[in-house]
This record gives sequence, C-alpha cells and structure tokens, in this order.
Amino acid sequence: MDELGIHLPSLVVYLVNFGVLTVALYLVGYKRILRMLDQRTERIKASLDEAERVKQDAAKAQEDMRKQLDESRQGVHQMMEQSRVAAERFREEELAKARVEGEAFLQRARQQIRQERDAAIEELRTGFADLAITAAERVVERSLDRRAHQDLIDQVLRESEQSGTANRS
Amino acid sequence: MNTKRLVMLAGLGLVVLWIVGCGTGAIVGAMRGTEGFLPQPGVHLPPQAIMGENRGETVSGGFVLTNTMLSSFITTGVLILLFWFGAFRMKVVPGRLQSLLEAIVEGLLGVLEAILGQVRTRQLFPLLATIFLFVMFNAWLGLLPVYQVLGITRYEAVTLSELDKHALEFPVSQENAKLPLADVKELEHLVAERLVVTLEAKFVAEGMTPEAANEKAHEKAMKKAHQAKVSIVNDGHAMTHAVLVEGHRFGEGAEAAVVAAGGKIRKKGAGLSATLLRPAGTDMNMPLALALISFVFVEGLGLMTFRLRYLNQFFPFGRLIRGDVIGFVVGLLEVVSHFVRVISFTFRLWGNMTAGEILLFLISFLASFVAVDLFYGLELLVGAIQALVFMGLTAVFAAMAMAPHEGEPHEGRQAQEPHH
Repeated sequence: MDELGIHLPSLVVYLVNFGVLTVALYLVGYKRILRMLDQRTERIKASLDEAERVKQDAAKAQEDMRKQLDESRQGVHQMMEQSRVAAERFREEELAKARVEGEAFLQRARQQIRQERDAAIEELRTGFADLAITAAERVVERSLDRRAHQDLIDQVLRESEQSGTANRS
Repeated sequence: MNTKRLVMLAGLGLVVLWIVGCGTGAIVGAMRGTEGFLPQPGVHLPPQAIMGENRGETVSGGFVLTNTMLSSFITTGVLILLFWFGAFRMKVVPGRLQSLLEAIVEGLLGVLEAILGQVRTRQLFPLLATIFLFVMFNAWLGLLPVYQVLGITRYEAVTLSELDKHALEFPVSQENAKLPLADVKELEHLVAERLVVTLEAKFVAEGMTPEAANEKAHEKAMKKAHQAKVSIVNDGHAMTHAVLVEGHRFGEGAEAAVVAAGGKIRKKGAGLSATLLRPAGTDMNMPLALALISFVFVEGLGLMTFRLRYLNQFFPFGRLIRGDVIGFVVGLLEVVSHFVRVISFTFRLWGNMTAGEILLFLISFLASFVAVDLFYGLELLVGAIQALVFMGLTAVFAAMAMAPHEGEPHEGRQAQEPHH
C-alpha cells in the first residue's frame, strides 16, 4: 500500500476537498445555471406558444381577409354587373331618346324645309309669273288682261309641274 | 505578409524544432554518446511532500502537504472561480464565460438524462457533474508546463567509488548492496564535516581568526548539511551507488555540500526529485477518494430507494431457504462485484493519468520539442474521456441501484420518468 502511495490522511483530505468543491459549485454555479436554463426554457416555451398563437391568429386573420376579399370581389362583380346593366339601360334609353329627338328634329327639319321650299316655290312662282308677264309683254308688245295672263301662267305652270313629276317618276 | 506565408513559416519552424528536438533528444544522444537535452525522468508512484522536513520524499505517517494535493487544491480553486465569475450575474443573453458554463452543464444534463431520466438527473446532478469537472480539470491542468518545471532539484554529487577514492571513511563494502539508513546519517555527518573544512578555509581567507572561523563554519555547516537532503540510492544495474544530495534548485547548502563531500556537480538540475505540482490523478488517493464517494453514493441511493430490501440482492436468504444455493452464492458474488467497482474505478483513473504523465515525460526526454505536442492532444482527450467514464459509470450504477430488482416492488421508479 505504501509503495502505491495510499495514505489515509491524504485520502481524507481528498474526500473533504471534493465535498467542499461539490457544495461550492452547487451554490455558486449549478444552482444559478440550472435556474437560468429553466427560466430560458420556460421563456422559449412561452415564446413558442406565443408564436404559435400569433401564427394561428395570423392564419385566422388571413382567412378572414381572404373571405372579406372574396366577398368584396363578389360585391365588386355584382356592382360591376349592376353598373354594366345600368349603363346598358341608360345607353339604350339615351339612344332611344336621341333617336326620338333626332326623329323629331328631322321631322321639324323636313317640315321646315318643306315650308321653306313651298315658300320658295311660291315666291318663285310669283316672281316667275311677273317675269313671264313682263317677258310676254315685251314679246307681244301688247298689254294683256292681267287676269287672263295670270290664268294662262298658272296653267302653264301646272302643265310644267305635271311634266316635271312625270319626268322624275 | 499574407496568411499563407505565415502558415508556411510556422510549419517550417515546427519542422526545424522537431529536427532540433530529435537531435538533442535521448535517442540521438545515446547514439552519439552524449546526454540528452532533458534529464532522464524519474517515476515516483506515491506523491511527494512539498513542505516540512520530509520535503521531496514520498508521504508516510501523518498529514503532509503533497504536490498532488496542492494540484487538487488549485483545481478546486480554479473551478470555483470559474463558476463564480461565470455564474455570478446570470443574464438571459449570456456572455462568453456564461455560455461556456451553460454549454458544459447542458451537455452533462444531456448525457445524464439519457441514463437517469430528467427528474433523477436534476436530483443527482451536483455530485455527478462535480466528479466529471474535477477529474477533467485535474487532468487538463496537469498538462500545463509549469507542472513539470517547478520543483525540488536533485544534485548528483559523487559516486561511492569516488568517495572511496578520496579516502573518506565510508563503509563501502559491497557496491551492489543497499546501504542502511544509519549509513545515510553517517554520510550526512561526513558531508557536514567536509563542509566545515571548506567553510573554515573560506572564512580564514576572508580574514577571520581560526577560532571564530571554525565556530562559524561548524554552525553553518551543520545547518546546511541538514538542509541538504543526503541520500544513497542503488540503481541496481550500473553496479554503482550514487550519493544524492537534494535541495532547492539554487540551494546553496546542497551545492556546497556536494562540493564539500569531495564530489562535483555533474549536472546542475539533473532532474527534479519532486515537482511542486503533479496531477492529482496520479496520486492513488485521489481516484480512491472519488471511487469511495461513488460507492457510498450508489449504495446510499439504493438504500434510500428500497430501504433494507436493497440488501436482499446481496443476501438472498429467502432463496437459501427455498433451496436455491446458487442464487444465494450469486447474491454474495454481487457483494464482491460492488466492492470491486471501487478498485476498478481507482485503478482505471490512476492508471490512465499516471501512464499519460509518464508518456509525456518519456517523449519529452526522447525528443525534446514538438513531438510531445501530439501526445498533449492525446492527453486532453484522455482526460475528458476518463472524466466522462467515471461520471457515466457512477450514473449507470446509480440507475441500477434505483431500478427494481427481482421480486422488488417498483417504487424505485416512482419519481422517475421513462428512460429515453
């Protein structure tokens, strides 16, 4: 035993030394480090739970948003359809109105043209009669009865109108 | 200078050092007939005292501070300081030292939880972790160069044949015989006498009167001769005895005593007779203390878990009554196996640590530089592995002690969750 160096007092010193070291390390080291590790584990667990909750909330919010978006999109589609229908209806109404107005305007224009034409014809006829009389007076160099002349002219004009109508048709 | 060039220079330096180391090592020295750069290492299994009258000698008798004991105190101090500074102000976001300590603790928790389960690990962690840290840091701190440098130097003074040549009256009857202790005392007295002559002449030369010089020389010579540890060893092979005078490296008394004894200092600092620090693992008392702690811890856990029923596995009288003699003998063998654990624990750790130290000494002796670095790396690994093995086996034995044995109720597992 001596040759190996086994020595009871030294053995006791090592036992005491190890005991002191274990207690000291427990008090100054292990206890604090284990507590910190536990705290950190708890904190990480809480953070993970929170992250999971936030993730679920986010997923839920995303789902809600998606639904709202779908609803909005659907609403927009409906609104667009309604707008399109309204616009179509409005267009048709306006078109009809414009058509009626155009027709009326055309009618009025035709009426006005007809009136102006008639007036012009009448004026022309009157002028033409005077001119014809004047011309005839100069040709025959004689004075005719004004009434007879007028009848004669009207007759000529009627004949010319009829011949013109016949030519147009 | 770029990194590549630096690496090349460092590599070249290492190669040069390696060549120089081999050239100045003992192998080349032996081929050339010269001595190596480093002295031949001496192997001392027991630790040496570093204080008191028996300084430098192996321990015996009462308490004495040894080099391995001092080393274990330093390890204890280093560990406590490390944990004190690292865990003094714990922060959620850790600093470097706190991270290191947390990594160590978490690593050990992982290993132990695989053996003991989470709940048991928390209960037993302080002791098991301390075993690991104490063993590992003892091994690692022992690799610091200071461990092999500071110490008590041995002066090889003179051989007995030379003493004989100087016509000193010394009983040299058989050169190959080990001299009794009385002869050592006589040699010490002889050294003192020779020292008196030297010192007296020195004091007279300094102008003192012969009477005063003689008185002062006697006083000083006795003191110095006592300070210088004189011993005689028998190397057993070279058929010579050597008179060894031990003292501090620069001990005036030792050096003077060598000269006074008619010898010459062949090699100043020819190896340390005792280093001031030595890895505690190389002192058998340390592994034995840990083994005993482990043993008491394991058996204590078994007794706390199963009370006296724990002893049934060792002394199964019930089996004997039922006629199962073999079962009873197996129980007795179990007692032996539990005590053998102490021996295996002790010798495993002690053997590994001692072999590592001797290996480092030898490699340093054979090739002075660089070559030993590889073995330093190996010893780092060995220290960590041995620490892990010691802790792991203690944990396994503890788990076995708390596990229900044949015929036992399962109360031992009540506080334990399933193993991973």
